Amino acid sequence: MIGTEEQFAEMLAKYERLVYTLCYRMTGNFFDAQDLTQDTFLSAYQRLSDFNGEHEQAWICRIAVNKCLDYQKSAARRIQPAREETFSALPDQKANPEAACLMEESKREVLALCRQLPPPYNEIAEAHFYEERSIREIAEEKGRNIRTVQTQVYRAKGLLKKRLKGGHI
Amino acid sequence: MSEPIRHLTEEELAAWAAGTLPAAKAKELLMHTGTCDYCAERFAACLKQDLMEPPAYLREEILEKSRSMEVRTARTICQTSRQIRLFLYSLKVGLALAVSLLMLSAFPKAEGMEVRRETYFPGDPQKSITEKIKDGGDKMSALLENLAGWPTCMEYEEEQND
Repeated sequence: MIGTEEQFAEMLAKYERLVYTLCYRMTGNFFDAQDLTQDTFLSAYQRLSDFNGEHEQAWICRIAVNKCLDYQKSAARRIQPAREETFSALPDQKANPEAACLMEESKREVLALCRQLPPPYNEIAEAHFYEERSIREIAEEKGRNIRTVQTQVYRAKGLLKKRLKGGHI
Repeated sequence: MSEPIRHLTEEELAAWAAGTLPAAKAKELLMHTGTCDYCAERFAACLKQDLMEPPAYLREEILEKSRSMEVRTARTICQTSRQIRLFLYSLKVGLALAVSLLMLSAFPKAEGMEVRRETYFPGDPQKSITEKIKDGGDKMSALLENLAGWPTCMEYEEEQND
């Protein structure tokens, strides 16, 4: 019989792209999409014992949609009380090739933002968010404690989010 | 009467994917998708036409987080609360059964007692229950009509007196 950990790892491998796509198209933000993807899977993990095993894709999709709706509601409250455009999706990348270019462009701007951060966050942010290296890999390469790198990534992410919301991108 | 469930149409899904669905409609679409397995499945299929690649480190981070004490504790609480709910439900059922058995043993003659029909269905014993309900309904309608007409009557009487 398959254990919960294995079941969760399989589910994550199977639906990670789907959930990330949904979250990105709902938020239009690289960092928030990652946070929401993480929240969705952790929520699914916690409720795995309640799940009856039927319609797995629909189940995970419903969790992700509800997480995104909660995010949009709280974002709308923070920014403008009556802003409802947030519920619309970003245009489909296939349907709109400009959106794909924008995505590339936004990645380049993430790199520019990472480089603007004060040391040691700049190099950590660049390695993690732009080069997509894991915390473990960065810690090993730089010969630092994994906890230290984790904290630095967390702080760098906070700084980057602030800058993104401040209209730098 | 509740409204029949309206599932998402292919046009609505396509419009959402293209980013052309009006905001209010998009909100409705998402709220429905969040509660309906059938539409969530179709919504996922629509998204799958153009999937994006998440950052390479994301999966490892999620797995690591799922092993953390915080998430494990939350999961245990979730499971425990489910077990407690099940236990409380079983307790209620058990208690109801025990009370029923106790009542049967405390009042053994209750089994042989005849229910006095007229207590529950007063009036003509020859009439069927449907007829009695209809009679009662008619009486209630007449009473309501009288009550509704009462202010008009009052005004009419006042006019007559003047």
